[in-house]
Amino acid sequence: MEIVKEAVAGTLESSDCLVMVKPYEGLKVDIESIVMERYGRRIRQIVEDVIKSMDITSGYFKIQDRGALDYCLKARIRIAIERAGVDNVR
Amino acid sequence: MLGRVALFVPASSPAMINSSAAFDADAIIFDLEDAVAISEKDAARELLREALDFLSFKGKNIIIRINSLTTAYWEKDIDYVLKTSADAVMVPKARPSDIKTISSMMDSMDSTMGIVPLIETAASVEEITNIIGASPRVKGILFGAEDYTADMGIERTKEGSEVLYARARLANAIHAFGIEGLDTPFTDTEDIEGLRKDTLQGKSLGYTGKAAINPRQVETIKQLYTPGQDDINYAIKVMKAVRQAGGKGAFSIDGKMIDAPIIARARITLERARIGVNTID
Repeated sequence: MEIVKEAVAGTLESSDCLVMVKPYEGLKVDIESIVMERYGRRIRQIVEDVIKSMDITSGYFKIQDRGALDYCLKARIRIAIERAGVDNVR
Repeated sequence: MLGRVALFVPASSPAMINSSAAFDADAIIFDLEDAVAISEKDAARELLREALDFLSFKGKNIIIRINSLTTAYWEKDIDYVLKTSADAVMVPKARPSDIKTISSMMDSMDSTMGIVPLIETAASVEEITNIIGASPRVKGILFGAEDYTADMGIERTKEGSEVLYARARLANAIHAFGIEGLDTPFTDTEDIEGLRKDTLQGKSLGYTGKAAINPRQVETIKQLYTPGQDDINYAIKVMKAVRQAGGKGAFSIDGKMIDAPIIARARITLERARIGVNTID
């Protein structure tokens, strides 16, 4: 499934993350994190897992992380995708 | 289920959700209602569902306040909540029909969740026995004085004489039904002395605990709802004497006659101190 419109979820507050998704040809994920050096790989894995679990095949994902735990990243990504108008995602 | 102190935590805030497990509250009330902006209801539900899967709240009861059944949000709320491990659902501006509706939904899903009606309108105060009696899942109630006074069109004061009737009426009802009752939160989070007075007032009316809206209120409330050591010692003495009397009827301790109400009070003291009667040597 494809991302059909731009949407955001989350905030830039501490322990949270801001997720922006928009249409894109192919899949692209950009991550900015205050803990990039230590947890960058883990964050990317979570983003990719959620995208895969929701059968998203194309879209641009920008993650601005402020120290979000795994559950928060997952929830924010999922809601950003749902807000972007993808049907039958769960 | 509700314990001595139940802390409200906005379900929309990861920072507050993360820290809530560390506070010494007996219960956490995750809020999908007033603390969450309308535009963030979807995100709060998802965040909470993931949080309850990911974080450990061991030793704490988890209650989720959904939106009122008069709004457009409650059905999605309950759909999410029933898929979580929460212990109970808090129903705002509760009416008997609301409790029956939520209870039926839980029945149909074989859920073991309890229901905590939030009593915050003049009508619900008058209907309290029908609300509690609407489902065996009702294990406790919360009195919400802010919305109650708004519904009454009266001024809310720190001293609280304007809510005395409702507060006392509900306290009586919880004991009539043998359930727990949380007193209304004290909204001035800077005024710990005011919180102390307000907590003692609720306790004197018969509430079994109080809701907190800020972590700094938790310790004060919990301390005031936990029996003091002198009370615990006396209760233990009473229960030991009961055991020694072996059902022989009235007896005395230190020259004072011990009868059924004193024994009942001793049991309540030990319950509140989390001391099992059977564990007394």
